[in-house]
Amino acid sequence: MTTPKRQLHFGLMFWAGGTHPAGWRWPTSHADAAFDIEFLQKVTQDAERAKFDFLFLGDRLASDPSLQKTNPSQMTRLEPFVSAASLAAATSHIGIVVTANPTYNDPYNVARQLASLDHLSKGRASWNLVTGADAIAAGNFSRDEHWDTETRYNRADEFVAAVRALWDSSEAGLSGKTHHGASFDITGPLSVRRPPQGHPVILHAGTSDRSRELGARDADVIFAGQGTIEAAKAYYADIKERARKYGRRDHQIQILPGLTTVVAPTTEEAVAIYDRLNAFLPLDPEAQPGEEARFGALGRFGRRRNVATLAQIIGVDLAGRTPEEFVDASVYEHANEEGRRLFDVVEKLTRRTVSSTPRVTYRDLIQGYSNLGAVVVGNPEEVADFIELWFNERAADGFNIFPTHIPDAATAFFELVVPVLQRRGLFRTEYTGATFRDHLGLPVPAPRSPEIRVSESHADEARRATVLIGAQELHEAISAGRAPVILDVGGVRPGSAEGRTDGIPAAIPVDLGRDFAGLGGGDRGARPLPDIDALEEAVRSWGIDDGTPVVLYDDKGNLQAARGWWVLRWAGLTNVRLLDGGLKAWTDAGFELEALTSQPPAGSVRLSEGHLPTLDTEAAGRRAREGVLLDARDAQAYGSDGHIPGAVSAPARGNLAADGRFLPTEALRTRFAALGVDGRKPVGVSCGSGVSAAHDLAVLTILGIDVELYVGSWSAWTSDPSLPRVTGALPS
Amino acid sequence: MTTQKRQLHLGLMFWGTGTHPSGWRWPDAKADAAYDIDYLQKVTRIAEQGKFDFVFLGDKLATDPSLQRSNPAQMSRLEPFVAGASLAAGTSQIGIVVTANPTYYDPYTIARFFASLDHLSKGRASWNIVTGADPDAAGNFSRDEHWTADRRYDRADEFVATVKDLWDSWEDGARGAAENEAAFDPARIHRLEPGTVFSVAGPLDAPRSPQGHPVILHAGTSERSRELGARDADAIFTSHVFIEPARAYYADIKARARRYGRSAEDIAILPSLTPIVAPSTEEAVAIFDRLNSFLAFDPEDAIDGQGVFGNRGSARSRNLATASKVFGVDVTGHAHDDFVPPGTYEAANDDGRRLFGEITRLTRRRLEGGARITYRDLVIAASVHVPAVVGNPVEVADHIQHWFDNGAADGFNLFPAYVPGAVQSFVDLVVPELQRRGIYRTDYSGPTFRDHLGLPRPASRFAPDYTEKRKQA
Repeated sequence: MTTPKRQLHFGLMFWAGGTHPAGWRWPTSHADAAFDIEFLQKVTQDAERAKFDFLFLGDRLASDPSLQKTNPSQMTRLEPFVSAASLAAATSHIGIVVTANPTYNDPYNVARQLASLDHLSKGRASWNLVTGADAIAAGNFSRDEHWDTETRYNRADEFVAAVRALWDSSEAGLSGKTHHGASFDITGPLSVRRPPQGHPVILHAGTSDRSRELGARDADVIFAGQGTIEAAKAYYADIKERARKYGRRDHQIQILPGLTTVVAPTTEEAVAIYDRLNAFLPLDPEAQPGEEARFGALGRFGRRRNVATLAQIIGVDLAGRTPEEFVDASVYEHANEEGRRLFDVVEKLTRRTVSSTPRVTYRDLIQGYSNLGAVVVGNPEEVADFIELWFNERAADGFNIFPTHIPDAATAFFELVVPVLQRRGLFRTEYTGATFRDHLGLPVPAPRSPEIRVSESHADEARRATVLIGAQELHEAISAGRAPVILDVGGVRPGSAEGRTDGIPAAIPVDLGRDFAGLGGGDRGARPLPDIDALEEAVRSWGIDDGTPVVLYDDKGNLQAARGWWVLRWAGLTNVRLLDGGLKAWTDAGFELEALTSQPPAGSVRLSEGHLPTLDTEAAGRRAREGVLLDARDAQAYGSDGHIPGAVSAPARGNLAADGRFLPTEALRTRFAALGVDGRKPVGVSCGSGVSAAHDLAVLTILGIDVELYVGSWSAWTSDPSLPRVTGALPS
Repeated sequence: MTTQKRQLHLGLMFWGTGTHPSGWRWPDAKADAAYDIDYLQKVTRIAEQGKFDFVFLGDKLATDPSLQRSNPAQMSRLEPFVAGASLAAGTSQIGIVVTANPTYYDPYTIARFFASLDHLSKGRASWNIVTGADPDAAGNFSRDEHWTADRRYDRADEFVATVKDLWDSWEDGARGAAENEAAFDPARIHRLEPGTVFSVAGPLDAPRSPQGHPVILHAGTSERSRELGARDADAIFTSHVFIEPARAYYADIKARARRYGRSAEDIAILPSLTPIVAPSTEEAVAIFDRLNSFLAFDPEDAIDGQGVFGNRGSARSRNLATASKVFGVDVTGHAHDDFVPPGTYEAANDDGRRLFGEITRLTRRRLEGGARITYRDLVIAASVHVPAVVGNPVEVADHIQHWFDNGAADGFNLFPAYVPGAVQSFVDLVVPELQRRGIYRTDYSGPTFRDHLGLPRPASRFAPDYTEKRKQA
C-alpha cells in the first residue's frame, strides 16, 4: 500500500456577510449578500478554483433580533438545502456541506434531501450534523422545552444510523424493515436511489463527551474550535483515540479547526485590516445594568466588551481609562497570569506591546478576549507558517477558514495563502476526483441490506447477553433471589495485607494468578493454563455446582476478569458472564458495596479441560502469517517491546467506552472489521501472557466470530530467542 | 381596474419519463431522467420557452416496488425542494412548484424552505399542499398509524396559516442599511401567537421573500380539501376527464372562494390534460396507439389490484375481463385485434357507452366504416386513465379553448405522455396556435410566478397599513 503524503484539507465557513461581527460593514461587503444567489455562487466558484475541499453552510433554526448589532449575518440566511442545490448547479468539484438538525427533523426527510443533493451535485453532498444547543429553536417547533444534551444525542445517535440505513435501503434489496429502534421505526425503502457517494460525507463539531463520541464514530470530518495549539492538540489526540476504538484509522477522520485568517501582502497591511474591522465594532457601555449582549455565532453570551470587564480579566484597576488610550507599561507589570497571556495574544495579532510604537491600546486588549477560536494575522508566509505548524504538530488536518469579510478576506486567502501552501507541497494543486469523498481520500462504503443488519443486530444482542450482564440486571437478579455466584477478580478478604476489601454484596474474592493460571516460566509463558484439578477444587470452594450461573468482574475494565471468564468456559462452565463496566458500573448505578466476607458452602461442579480452543507458539506464528493474530496489549508495548511478526495491534482498552463499559456491538463490529477480522480468515488473540487477550476474545464471542487464544502470548514467544520479533506500529 | 383579456395558465406536470404508463418506453425517453439534473433543467427550459406559468414537482413520501412495471416514473425521484432549487438555477422566469406535506413537516421548516426558494428563484417559488393520502408514508415516519383525513386537514389548515404568518413575520423594509449600524429594524420583525396545533414563536430567519407569499396550489375533491383550496390556494388542480363534472367543480370552488372574500380571478382552476399532438390528426392518433401498444396486458385471470400491473394509481387489470365489467358486456374470449361489432355498443351500460364515445374522440375509430374499434381499444379505455386530447394543433387548441370558454378551466396542468417529445411538440405546435387566438401570453409580463397568475403581492399582515388596505379593497 502506498501512502501518499498527508495533505491539508480546507473548507470555507460561508457566512455571506463575513464571520467577523463587523464584516458586513467592510466597504466592499455586499449588504444583501445572504440573499443574492449569484453572489453566493461566485464566491463558491472562487473557493473551487482554490481547490478547497468544501463550502460550509451553517444553520440555525431561529432568528434573533438581538444579534443585529453583534452579528447580523447570523440573524437570517437562506435555508441551506435549497442554497446548496443552487450552489451545486453552479460548480462541479467542491464539496457542499449542509447543516441539518436531528432534533427537529425526521430521518426520512433528511436522508432523501441529502441523497437528492448528492445526485444533483454528482457526489458532493455533505451533512453537518448538529443537535441544536441553542434553546431558542425549540420555540419555533411547538416544543414545551429545549431538550437536554442527553435527549438530543440519544436521538441523534439513532438518527444517523437510521439515515445510513435509508441510504442503503434502495440498493440493498426491497425486503426487510429499514430501521427499528427506540426513537424511530422506518419501513423504507428510501424513495431516492442510493447516493453516488454511498453515504454523503458526515461532519460534526462539539466538545461534550456525547458529541465527541458521535463524531468519533460517525463523522468523516470534525470541526474544532480551539483557540490555542495546545488545546487543539489535546482535542485532536482525544478524537483520534476515540475513533480508533471504533476501528477507524487516523486518516478516516479529519480534524479541522476553525481559523480566522487576516492576510495581506505585508504584515503591516494585515494588521491594518484587523484594526479596521475591529474599529467598526461598537463597544459596550462601561456601566450598564441588565443582561449581557448576545455575541458570536451561536448566540453564546460573550463577555462585555468594555474597560471594566478588561480590568476584571487582567486583575488591574483601570478606572478612568478609555478604550483608545495606550496601555501603560505598569499595567502589564501588575497584570495577573491571564492578563499576561492576553498581552501575548494581542501582540501576536497586532504586533503591539506596551513598549512598541505605536503602543497597544485598551481597545486592542478588549478585542483580544472577544475573538472566538483561532485567529492569525499576517503576510502570506506568516499565515502559511501558522497553518503548517498546526498541521505538523497534529493540532489539525486542515482548517475551516473563517473569512472575516466577504468576498475580500476569502479572495485574499485563495490568492495569497493557497499558492504558498501548494508550493510547500501541503495542499493539492488539482482535485484528484470529482466527489467530496475523493477529496478526503475516502472510498464509497458498501451497502448493507436491512435483513443482514437486522439479523446481525438481533444475533449480536443475543450473543452479547450470553457474555455480558448489566449492573441493573445483576442487581435485579440478586434482589429477586436469583443471585449468581459473583467472583471479584482482584478483591481480597478484610484483614488481608493489601488490596480492595469491598465489593458487590456476596461476591467472592478471587485471584488471577492463583486461581486462573498455573505455574509459569519458559516456553509455558508467564500465566499458563491452570491445573484442572486445582481449578476444580477452587471453583467448588466458591459454591459452584453444575449449571450454577457465574458473573465475574474487576475494577480494571474487565481486563483481568475476562481471563477468569475464559478459563471457566475452557473448563466446561457455560453460564459465565462478565459484569459490563465492572465494579464502576455497579457504583455508577448507585448500588452499595459490602466487605468481601462471603464464605459459601462448597459446590460439586465437575470440570474438564479443553472446552475452548487454544494456540501454541508455533500455531500462533502461523496464524499471524496466514490468518489474523490480534495483539491485545496497549499500543506502546506492541510498538516498543515488539510483537510477533504479522500480529495486528488491537489494544483491549479500545473495546471500552469512556464509562468502562463495552462499546455498542455495532461499534465493536466496525472496530474489528477494520483490523482485518472479516469472518473468513481464522482469528487468534494474544497479549503479554493470555490475560487481556481474553478481553478481545470476549468481544469476538459477542460478534459470533470463532477465535483461539494463544495462552503463552508474548511471554512464551520471547522465551525462544530464535523466534523473530518486530518493533514499530505496523504488523511487520 | 383595466380588464385585460382573460388568459390561459399552463403548467408542466414533470415526471422525468412522462405521465403515460408507458411513456418511459417511448424511443427517445431517457431511462435515467429522474436523476439527470442537466436533463431536467433542459426540459424545464423547453417549458419556459413555451412561456408556461410553472413546472410542477410532485412527491410521495414512500416508494412502492409494485410501481416498477406500471409506473416506474412514480417509484423514485429527487426530493423536490433540492430539485426545485436546482431547476431555479437553470431557468429565469418559470414558476417552480414543490409539493410538501404538512402531515410530516413542521411549519417553520416549510416556511423557510419556501421563503428561501423564493429568494433564490427571485419570486418563482410555489407550494403544492398535499396532506398525504398514501398510508405507506406513515411507516416511514415512525407513526403507529396513518392519520384520518380530518386529522390531516385539521393540521394542514393551521399549518398553512402559521406558514403565512411566518412569511409575514418580517415586514417589507425590515432590512436596514449598513450606515445605520443596525442591519435590521426590530420594530418591523414580529413574533407569532401560539395556535391550537402549533406553537411557533417566530420570527422566520429570512426577510420577506420576493412574492411575499409564494403561490399556493392544492388539489382535491373532498369537502375539507375544497375548503382549504377555496380559502388558501392560488391555483387548484383537478383531474376531470369530462367537461360536465369539471364545470360543476369549477363553479363550486369559485363560489366557495367568494365566501372567503376572494374574487373568482383570485383562484385559477387547472384540470390535467395530456395533449398528444402532431402536425396531422393521423400522426397524432398513431402516437397515441403506439404508446398504448407498449402496454403489456394482464392474464385474463388476474384480479383487480393484484395483477402484475396493479398499483394504487391504476388498480384495474388490463384484460378483457376488466373491459367486460366496465362496459357491462361479456367480451372475454375475443382476440384483441378483432373488430368490435355494433351490437356491443347496444348492449353496453351507460359508462360503457360513454367510453365508446371517448374511444372515438381519441382514436377517431368507430364501430363501422374505415377505421374500426378493436377489443384492444376497449381494454385500454377500461383500464388506462389518461386525460388525453389527441389531434392536430388546431384540434388540441379547440379542446383547450372549449374548456376555457365554458367555465371548466382557467388553464391546464399539462401531463406530457412522454418526455421531452410531448413537451416539445406542445410548445412548438399548440402554443403558437393559442397565442394566435389571443388567449395565451406571447411573453411573460413579469418575473414572478404571482405576475404570471396576475396576482398582486400581498402586504404583510403585520404591516401597519394592512388592515386599512384590506378595508379599502
